[in-house]
Amino acid sequence: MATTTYKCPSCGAGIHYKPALKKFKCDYCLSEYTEDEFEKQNPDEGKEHSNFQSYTCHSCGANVVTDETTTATFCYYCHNPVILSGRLEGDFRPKKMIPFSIDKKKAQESFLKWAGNKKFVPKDFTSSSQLEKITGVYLPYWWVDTKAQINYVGEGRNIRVWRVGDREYTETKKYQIIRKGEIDLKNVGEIAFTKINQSLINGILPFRENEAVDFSMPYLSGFFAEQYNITKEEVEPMIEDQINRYYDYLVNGLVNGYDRINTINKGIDIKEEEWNYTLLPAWILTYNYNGKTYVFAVNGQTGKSYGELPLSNQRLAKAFSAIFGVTFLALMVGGFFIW
Amino acid sequence: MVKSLYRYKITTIILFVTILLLGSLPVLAAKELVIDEAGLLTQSQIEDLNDRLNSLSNEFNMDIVITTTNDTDGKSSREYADDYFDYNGFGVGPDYDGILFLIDMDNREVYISTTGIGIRYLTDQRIERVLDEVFESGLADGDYYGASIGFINGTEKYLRGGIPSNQHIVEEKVNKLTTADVIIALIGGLGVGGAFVVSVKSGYKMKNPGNPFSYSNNSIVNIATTEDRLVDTFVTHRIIPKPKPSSGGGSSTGRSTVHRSSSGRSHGGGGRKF
Repeated sequence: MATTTYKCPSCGAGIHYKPALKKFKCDYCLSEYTEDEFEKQNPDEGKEHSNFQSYTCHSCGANVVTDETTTATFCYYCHNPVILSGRLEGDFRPKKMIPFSIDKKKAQESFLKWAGNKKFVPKDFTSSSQLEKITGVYLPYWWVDTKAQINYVGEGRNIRVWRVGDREYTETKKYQIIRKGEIDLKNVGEIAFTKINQSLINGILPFRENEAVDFSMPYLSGFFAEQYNITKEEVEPMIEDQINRYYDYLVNGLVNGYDRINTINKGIDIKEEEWNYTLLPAWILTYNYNGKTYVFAVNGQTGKSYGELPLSNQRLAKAFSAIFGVTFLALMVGGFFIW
Repeated sequence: MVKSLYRYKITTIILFVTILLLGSLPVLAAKELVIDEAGLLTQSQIEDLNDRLNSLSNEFNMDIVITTTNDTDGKSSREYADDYFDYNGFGVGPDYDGILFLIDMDNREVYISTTGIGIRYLTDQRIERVLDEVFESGLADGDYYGASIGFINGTEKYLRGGIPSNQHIVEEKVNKLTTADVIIALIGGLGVGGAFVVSVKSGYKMKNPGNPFSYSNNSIVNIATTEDRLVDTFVTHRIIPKPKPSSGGGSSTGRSTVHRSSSGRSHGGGGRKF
């Protein structure tokens, strides 16, 4: 299978995408390229190596060993970025992606901001060597765009109450409500990858989905990327569920200004559905403590972080006993003198 | 002869005792109700007060006592007054009905101790009023006879006024550790400690917000027809029911706070420093 290493058009060294610059930058000759310029300089990069059947690093010739779903990685020997372009073809060619805009430094800062002031974490947890392990990964997602015809019929009531003497009058006005039109709903997604904790990934949502761009392979250079291993068919019911829910909310949002609304027919008719295989950026840090793996993730686009910290139970138990003791004594004294 | 004389004597004594008990009980019950251990009163003052206390005591069937002291043996005025009443045989009936007024020169405090029905007559508020009268009628100027008269007048007024209709007895809080206190402390300690642990743990694990997809940012709404047509209007009415007057809550004016004295009996009371 093919591999690709994007090389600097000026000097030929391995080149990385730099989120902070939103450009490609060569670490050796310091040349910078935008994605457009870079694509022009490297025409047909994907096809060029399609005849390669083994994962071979183009920089040093070492064999690249990866998981079977990995599409972008680094050569373990020379650390140049390697893209397994053969795994990004056919059904596995992503349609859309959101490039990284949070770089490694920012992701580390985000982590420290959260974990730095916690008193019950193991000491080496926030060390710099630990922070070095944070990795940028493009995660595969299924996104669906839909178009629906809306033909809403409902009944609204407005109620006015007033008093005259000891009588209370209630005036009810009934309205017939009709809404007809079209609603486009885009980018409803589910993760298409089993090797990562679902709630962890939900924790760094949402992305600014409307900033997604068409897939372009060079963006993967300098990051890890994974292929989907959950098929469309598997996530379809979950996505349908989400879509129905959002359409409900959207249609409800069309009707307002009534005290009471009685929906007769929502009339949501979903006409079109388009599936997009999408790559989304995330910074992931894993930490092994007492036999349990703790994961921390940062949204590669928005910087939103989510995760779980290891907790030293011994130190927590000490704090608990101290608090228990003080409260117990205070309440005993209170019990003796006050109540 | 000797024998019959003896029998006659016994009969006479029995008869005499019976008459005494039945007929002249009020007269014979002229108890010593003023005990001036501190020597604050003259003999004539004592007699005068004693007469008034006896008639009042007989009328209301309780022991109304005035005593003074220079030395309470380290007791507080309350303890001394309660104990004086309990250990000197005062109190009428099974509940030891009575009221004791103490002028305590040791603690420089006057104290009114009530027992039995006396607790119900002299509520906390009434005791304060009687003490007001005690101060006004001489205690402030060192006139202990005047103070005693003030006590008798105040007490008499309230005895004649009867037991207030809203009178109720409240057990005074005693400083001691009950099992309930220990259990409350235990639960409280565990509760606060547990809350701390939970809050720390939650700080170490971020909340999962579910899937916060912003459907409004990812949708385009294009509504061609918007129709809101008024189809019907109707008016109904009802008669507003009159609100029922709410019943008032309990008041504190009828409260009699009680505590236990060293003898284990229940006393009411109140005092004031002078």
